[in-house]
Amino acid sequence: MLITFLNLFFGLLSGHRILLTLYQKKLIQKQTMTKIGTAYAVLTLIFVIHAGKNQTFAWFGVFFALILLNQVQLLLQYSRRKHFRREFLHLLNLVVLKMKAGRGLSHAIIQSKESFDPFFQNKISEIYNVVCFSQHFDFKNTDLFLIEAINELKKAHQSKQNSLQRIIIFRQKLKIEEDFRHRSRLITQQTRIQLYILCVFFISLLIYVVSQFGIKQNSSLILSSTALFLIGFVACIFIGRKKTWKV
Amino acid sequence: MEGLSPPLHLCMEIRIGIENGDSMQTTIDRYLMNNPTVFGQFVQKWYFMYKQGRSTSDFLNSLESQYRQTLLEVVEGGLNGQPILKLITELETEIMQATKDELDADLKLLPLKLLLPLLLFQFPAFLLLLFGPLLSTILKEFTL
Repeated sequence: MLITFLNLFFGLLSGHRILLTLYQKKLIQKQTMTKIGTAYAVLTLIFVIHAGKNQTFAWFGVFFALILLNQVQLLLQYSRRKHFRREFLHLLNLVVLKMKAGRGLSHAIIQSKESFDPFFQNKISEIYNVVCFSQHFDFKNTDLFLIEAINELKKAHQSKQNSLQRIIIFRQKLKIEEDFRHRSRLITQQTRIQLYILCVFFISLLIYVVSQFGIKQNSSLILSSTALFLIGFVACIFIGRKKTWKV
Repeated sequence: MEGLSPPLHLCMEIRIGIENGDSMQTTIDRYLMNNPTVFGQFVQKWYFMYKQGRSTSDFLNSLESQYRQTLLEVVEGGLNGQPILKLITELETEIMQATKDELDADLKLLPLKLLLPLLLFQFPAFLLLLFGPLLSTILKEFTL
C-alpha cells in the first residue's frame, strides 16, 4: 500500500514538473496546463486503482502516463519550432510587402504582426523590441534560427539604405532552406509513420496478451518480445536520423 | 537531420554576404560562429591556416567531397581579393543540384533500409507475442 502510494505520489509530482516546464517554456497556456494536468492525474489514478495489488501494473501505469506526457512536450516543442520557421517566413513576406508600399522596417513589422495568432504575436513583439530598441535578449537557450533572424533584422534596421534588399535576400535564403527541409523531412516522416503504426499495434497486442494470458506466466516471452521490438524501434530511428552528407 | 548540405550552407552564406556588401572575413567569421558542425570545424582549421599564410592545398585535398574542395578553393580566391560572386552563384546551383540528387537517392533507398529492422526484429517480436503464449499453453496441455 505504502509503495503504491509513493509510486503514485512521485509519478504525479514528476508529471506536475513536466507540465510546469511546458508552461515556463510558453508551450502551453495556464488553462491548457490545468486541463492536461487533470487528465493526466485521472489517467494515472485509474491505472493505479485498476491495478489493485498488482504492483507491476501500477508501475507500468504511472510510467506509461509519464512517458505520454513527455512525448506531448517533445511534440509541442517540435511543432512550435516547425511552426515558427514557417510563420517567420510569412512575416517576412508581409514585411517586404509593406516596405515596398513605402513603410519603414519597424512600422512594417508592427503592422504585419496583426495577422498572426497571439502566441506568435508575442514572439514578434519580443523580436521587434530586440531589433528596434536593442532590448536585452537571452540568447543562451535560444534556437540558432531565432538568433540568426534577429541579427539579420537588426542589420537590416541599421542599414537604412538597403534594408529591403537585405530582407529580400534573407527571405530567399529561408525559402531555399525550407524547400530542402521539406525534402529531408520526407525521409524522417516515412520512418516515423511506420514506427507509430507499429507501436500502436504492439501495445494493443501486449495489452491483449497480458489480459488474456497473464503477465507472470509469460513474463520471459513478453520481455524478450518487448526487447526485440525496442531494438527494431531504435534501429528504425537510427536509420531515419543518420544522414552523413556526401556532397 | 538538417535540410541543407554543409557546402550548400556555406556557399549560400558567402553569396549572401557578398550581395549584402559584407567583407569575406566578416562573412566567414559569422558562418563559423553559427556553425559548430564537423564541416564548420574543418572550415575553421582551413581559415586558421590561411590566416597564418600557410599553404592549404594539401589540407583541402584531404576532403573527400570535390564540391567542398572546389568551394573552399574559390572562397580562398575571394579572400585573396578576386571577384567571386559569379563563380559562387554558379557553384551554388551545382551544389544545390547535387544535394537534391543525394536526397532523392536516399529517399529511394529508404523503404529497403526500413525493411531490415522490421523483418529482423519487429516481425519476430510480434510473432513471439502473438503465438508464444498460445504455444506454451498447448505445450503445457500436452505434457499434462
